Amino acid sequence: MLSRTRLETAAAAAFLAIVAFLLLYSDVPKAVDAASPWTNTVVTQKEVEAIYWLENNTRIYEPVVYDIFGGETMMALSLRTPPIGGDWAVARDAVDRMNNVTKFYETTSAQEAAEIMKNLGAHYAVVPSRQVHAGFGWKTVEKQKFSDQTFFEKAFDNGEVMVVRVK
Amino acid sequence: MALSLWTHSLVLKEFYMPTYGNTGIHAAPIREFVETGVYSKEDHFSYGGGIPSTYVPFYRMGVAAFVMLAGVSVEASSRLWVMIVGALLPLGFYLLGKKVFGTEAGLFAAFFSAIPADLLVYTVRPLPQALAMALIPIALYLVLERKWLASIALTFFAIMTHQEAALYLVAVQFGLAAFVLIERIWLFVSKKNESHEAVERKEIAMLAFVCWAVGVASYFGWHFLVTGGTDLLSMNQFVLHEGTAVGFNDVFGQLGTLLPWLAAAGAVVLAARAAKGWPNAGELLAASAVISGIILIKNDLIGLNVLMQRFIAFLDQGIVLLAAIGAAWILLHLNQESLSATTAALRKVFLRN
Repeated sequence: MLSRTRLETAAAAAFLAIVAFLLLYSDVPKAVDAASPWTNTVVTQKEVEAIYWLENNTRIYEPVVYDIFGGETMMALSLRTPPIGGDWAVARDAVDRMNNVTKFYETTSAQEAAEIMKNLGAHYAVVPSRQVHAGFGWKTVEKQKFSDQTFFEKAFDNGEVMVVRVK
Repeated sequence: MALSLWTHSLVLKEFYMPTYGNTGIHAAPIREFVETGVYSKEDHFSYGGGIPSTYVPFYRMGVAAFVMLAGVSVEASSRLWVMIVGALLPLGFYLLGKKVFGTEAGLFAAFFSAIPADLLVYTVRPLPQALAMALIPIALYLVLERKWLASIALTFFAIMTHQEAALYLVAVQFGLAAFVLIERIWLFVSKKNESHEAVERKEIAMLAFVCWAVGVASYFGWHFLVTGGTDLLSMNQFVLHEGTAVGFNDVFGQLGTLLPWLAAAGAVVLAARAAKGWPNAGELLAASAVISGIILIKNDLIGLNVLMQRFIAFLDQGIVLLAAIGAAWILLHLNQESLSATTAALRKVFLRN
C-alpha cells in the first residue's frame, strides 16, 4: 500500500498530467485551428503590387474604389481612401456606399459602373481576381465591363489585378 | 509564455498581416501619424473619409511610436505588437490568478489563457483589443494590490486603447464595487462590526469605483473631444445594431474540454465560499469578471443589441480565472481525506451495482 504522502503526490501528478495532456494535445491545438482562418490576408501579393502602383501614381487621400478588405489594405499601405471600409461608427452613408460598391463590382453594365465611380468621386478602381466583399457577402466580380473603352481605360494590369480609370 | 508566443506566432505566417477585423483602419492612421507627425482627429480613410476619428488613440500612438523609434515598417511593428501581447497575456493572468487564489491558480490561469479560441482570435491580430485584453488582467491585479496610481493609470491606458475592452474592464470594476457595497449595507443594517477583511474589501472596492469613474469619464471625454458630443447611442453600431445573438454553443464550443469542467468547479468553490461568509475581494472580482461577461454577451436582452459576439472573448477572461480557481482548489484538496472519501463513495456506488 502506498504511504499517505505518495498517494497524494500520485493523485496530484495524475491530475496535472490529465490537465497537461488535454491542454497541449487537444484544447490549444483546437484554438489554433479555430484562429488560423482569421489570420488570412484575403488580399494577394499581386494586389499589393497594384496598391503600390496607386501610391506612386496618385495623390495622398485619392478616392479609389475597392472592396472592404482591399480598401483597408490600400489605406494602410498607401494612404489612399476607399469609399467603403474602415470605422463606420459615425460614417453618414455607410450602407448606401456598401450598396453602391457591391453594385459596382456585380453589374454587367459598364455605364452603370462608371456612373457609380463618378458619384463616389473616384477616378480609379481596383479590380482583383478574387471574390470581393463590400458589406453584403462575397461576390464575384463581373470583369468584362471594364473592357468597354467607352467608359474605362486600363491604368495598371499585372495579369491578376487591374487598376481602371473612368473616362 | 512560450506556449502563448507559439499560438500568437500565427500572425507571422502570411506575407502580410491579417486583414480580418479591420486591421487596416489602425495601420492607416498609424502610417499617417508617422509620415506627417500629427495625430489627426479626422478620419481621412473610413467610408470616404472626412469624419471624426472616434477610435480611442493609444494603440495607434503606441505602434507609431515604435515605428518612429525602431525604424521598422508599420506592418512589421503591428505584428511585433501581437507578439508582445502574446507575452503579456499569460503574465497578466499569472499575476491576477496568483493574487486571487494563490500561486497554483496563477500558473493554471497563465496556461489556460491559451485555450479559449475567441481569446486567441481577438489577440492574434494587430488590433487595439489585443493589447487592451492583455492589459485587463494586469489592471485588475493592480486594483486588488491597492496600487492606486498604477491601477488608475493602467485603467486609463486600457480605456484609451479599445472601447469594448474599456466597457468590460469598467463593468468588472463596477461589479466588484457593487458586491462590496451590498456587504457594507448588510453590515450597516445588521449593526455588525467590520472585520479586518471587510476593511480590506472596502478599500479595494473604493479603488475599483474610482477606476470605473476615471474610465467612464475619460472615454466620454475622448468622444466629446473628437465629435463635440457625448451621444454614443447615435453611433452606427447602436443605431444599426451591429452584432449577432450569442447562444450556449457559441460560448462553450470555443472553450475546449478543460475549461467548462474546471470553471464549473471554480463556480462551486466560489459559491461554497459565499455560503460560509463573504468571499475575499479577489474572489468577488472573479465572480464580477464572469457575470459582466455574461451580461455583455447577452446585451440584446437589456435592449442594447450591439456587438454581442465580440464580448465572448472578454467572458473568456473571466472563465479562465474561474477555471484556474477550480483547478487550484482540486490540486490543493487531493489529500488523504478527500481521496479516502472519493474512494469510499466510488466503492459504495460500484458495490451497490
